Amino acid sequence: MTSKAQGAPTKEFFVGMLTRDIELSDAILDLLDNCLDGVMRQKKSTNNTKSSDYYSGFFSHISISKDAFTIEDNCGGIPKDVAEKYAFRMGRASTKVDEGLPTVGIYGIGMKRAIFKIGKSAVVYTRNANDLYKVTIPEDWESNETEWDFPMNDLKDKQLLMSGGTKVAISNINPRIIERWDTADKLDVFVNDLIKSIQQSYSFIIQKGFEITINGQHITPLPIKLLVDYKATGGAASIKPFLYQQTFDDVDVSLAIGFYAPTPSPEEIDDENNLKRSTSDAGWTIVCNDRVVLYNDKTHLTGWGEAGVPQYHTQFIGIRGIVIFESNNPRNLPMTTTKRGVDTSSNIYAAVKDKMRQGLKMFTDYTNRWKGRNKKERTYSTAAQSVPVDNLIGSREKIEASIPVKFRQNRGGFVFKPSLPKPETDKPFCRISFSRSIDEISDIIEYLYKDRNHEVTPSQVGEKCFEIILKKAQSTEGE
Amino acid sequence: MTKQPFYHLRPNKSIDRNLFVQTLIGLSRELPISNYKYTGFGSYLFDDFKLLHDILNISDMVSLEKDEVEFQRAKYNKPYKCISIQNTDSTQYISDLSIQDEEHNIFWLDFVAPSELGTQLSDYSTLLNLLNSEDIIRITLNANPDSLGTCNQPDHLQELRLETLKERVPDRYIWPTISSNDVITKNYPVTLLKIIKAATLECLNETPYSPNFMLPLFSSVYADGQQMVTFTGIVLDSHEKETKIKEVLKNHRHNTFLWDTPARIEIPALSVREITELNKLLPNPKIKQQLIKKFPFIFSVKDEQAVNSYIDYYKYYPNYHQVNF
Repeated sequence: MTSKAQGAPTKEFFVGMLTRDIELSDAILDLLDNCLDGVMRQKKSTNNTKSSDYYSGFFSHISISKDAFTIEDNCGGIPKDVAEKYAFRMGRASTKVDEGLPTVGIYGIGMKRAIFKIGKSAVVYTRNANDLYKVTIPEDWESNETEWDFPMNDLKDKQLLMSGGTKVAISNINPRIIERWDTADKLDVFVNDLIKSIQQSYSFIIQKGFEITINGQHITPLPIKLLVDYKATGGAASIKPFLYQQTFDDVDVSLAIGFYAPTPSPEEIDDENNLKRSTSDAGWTIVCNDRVVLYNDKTHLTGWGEAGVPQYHTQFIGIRGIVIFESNNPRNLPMTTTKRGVDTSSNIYAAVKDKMRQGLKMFTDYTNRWKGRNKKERTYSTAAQSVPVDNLIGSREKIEASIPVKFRQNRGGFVFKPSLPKPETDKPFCRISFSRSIDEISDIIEYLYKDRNHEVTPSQVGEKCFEIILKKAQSTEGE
Repeated sequence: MTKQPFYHLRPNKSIDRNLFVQTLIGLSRELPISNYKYTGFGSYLFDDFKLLHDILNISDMVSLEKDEVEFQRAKYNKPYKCISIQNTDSTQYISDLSIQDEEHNIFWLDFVAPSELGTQLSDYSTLLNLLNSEDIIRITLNANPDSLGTCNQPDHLQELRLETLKERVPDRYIWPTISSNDVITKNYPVTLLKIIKAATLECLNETPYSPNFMLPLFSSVYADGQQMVTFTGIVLDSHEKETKIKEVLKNHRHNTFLWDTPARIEIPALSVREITELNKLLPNPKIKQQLIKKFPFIFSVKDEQAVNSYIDYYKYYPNYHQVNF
């Protein structure tokens, strides 16, 4: 007689596996990604994500309290047959729904994962074309080992989701999540952090018109800007970014790297804690179909400390770069399945990384070359203006018309390499720094200025002493 | 610079340079070498520039000189009009460099200062990123272990040197089993070649969208005082081209197409009479023992490298004569 050993997974194990390795804020970002995929489906006919108002008119409103989490959008809703066959399955079947559309949601797990991360039960309302219906995830779904499907009911409510969209209402919030939302202060901290991650990830999408609110608060974009010296034309050395563009089959790449702020002075570098500018603004940002998948990265992933480029160091705090990948075939974009990282095994990314390093090296070399000559260097970086990165990516004709740069063809792509200012003499400089008691420094100030309280910085005192001795040393030379 | 030996009087370096020229002559059967642009560090004597112009008719040349005074001297001594001398260091030059698609280059990064190994490798990597397929690159590094430091505890010297090397070179280029044995005089050049290989593979990884890879042409170790190591390779993007290049260089013994089996060029200083007598017996691959026996004041069994070197490279041993103008 033969019998069978049970092999089916328990729901508890399944849900545990599904939600264990994702951060709460990332799970919420997954829900936002679904909204954006809805926009793509809606705009099938006008499929030009490059237009500057592509997401205009679409919104996603999130509300969070200790008892409920709701996200509502007007992004078109889930087609009924998609809901029946795919949208609520655990993992997407191989039949493709969005063939040829530049969506980021290609793995079919985001919504379920987010729901179970946050709570035990949920109702998903959706209006798509002429259908309005809800899908319920009952509270006892996890404990019922035999039933995997979710009930679907048609609704007749004219007010709900009027212009077509989806509303996910999650209840029975998990105890671990309630811990983070159960007082107004804790909720504030959480919401602020969430806003920051949304700003980082969706800046381009918000700039292109998408509206996101959390508990009524509008989220503004965090535009990336780079310094461009407009006055210097032709080949004159000046602060400008390195630009590169190339198309790899169906993937368009646009890159800009440069300074977003002047290089820091040695004092600023020494006193990292008091740096006005945050080091978190430096580094590479990688964008796939408007979605930021890596934000201000300063590691090997983006070429730092690799193939001749130095490791990130505070002195490089002014360097910032962005790479935009766009494709109607998201599978060819160099992003990980979580959409929160680059896929370093991508051949396209490997080719682009060569250019990222090339551009980055120009600005690390520049920083090193001017070390110790900060004042003079500042005359160049302050002559430049902060320009939103949108003016540096996209159509080459548009870029060349608006800023003084000229692309040249290079290995199937287009490159603009700036001519950065160089110090006049290459006699190396060396920095002197040392500490002495404030009392002793005051003694010298009194000696130099006849006033113990004369306003002068310690480094100016040091410089002055050096000048005096240097003059003396040079006048006695040859004696 | 003044502490450097007379560049043009270094016989072993001269032989190495000749091997390079022989390689280029071979390559010119497959590639338009005379149309290539040559960039190097000509100093004020321009030995390599003269050779490449005289023999291969390379007529677009750039010499980099970072020192302002040496730059003036180089301009004064420039042997041909087709050499452009730039007052810049290699880091800046490479950082600013734009190579056109149709342009072809030969670069010789002839580095001297051992303490700047990290920067030198960085320049090399940055350059690799820029080169076109069929461009030729050559890098010389100081391979004298003394340059990795000295200490008064002879038993710990090698460990100390290994640590210095690790400080100068990015971790990714160092392999896990590296030991103090890798920094002894005999092995240090090969260690540096392995580091060059790691740096190269990091930049050129032969992927569908960036198909470039490096074909090593030859490596050499020579010492006229300081032991130096040189790697020479060509960047390619197709294996058909690789086959053709191997074909045109097949009769050159020094073109091994391997990364870490350098030609060892260690010939002692010889008088004109010695050269004449030695050369009468060459070529002859089986002459080694006889040479050692016949010229005990030049060669010895203990230092077979010297006699091997001479048998291999006698043709390229330079003759120096005093001339009164």
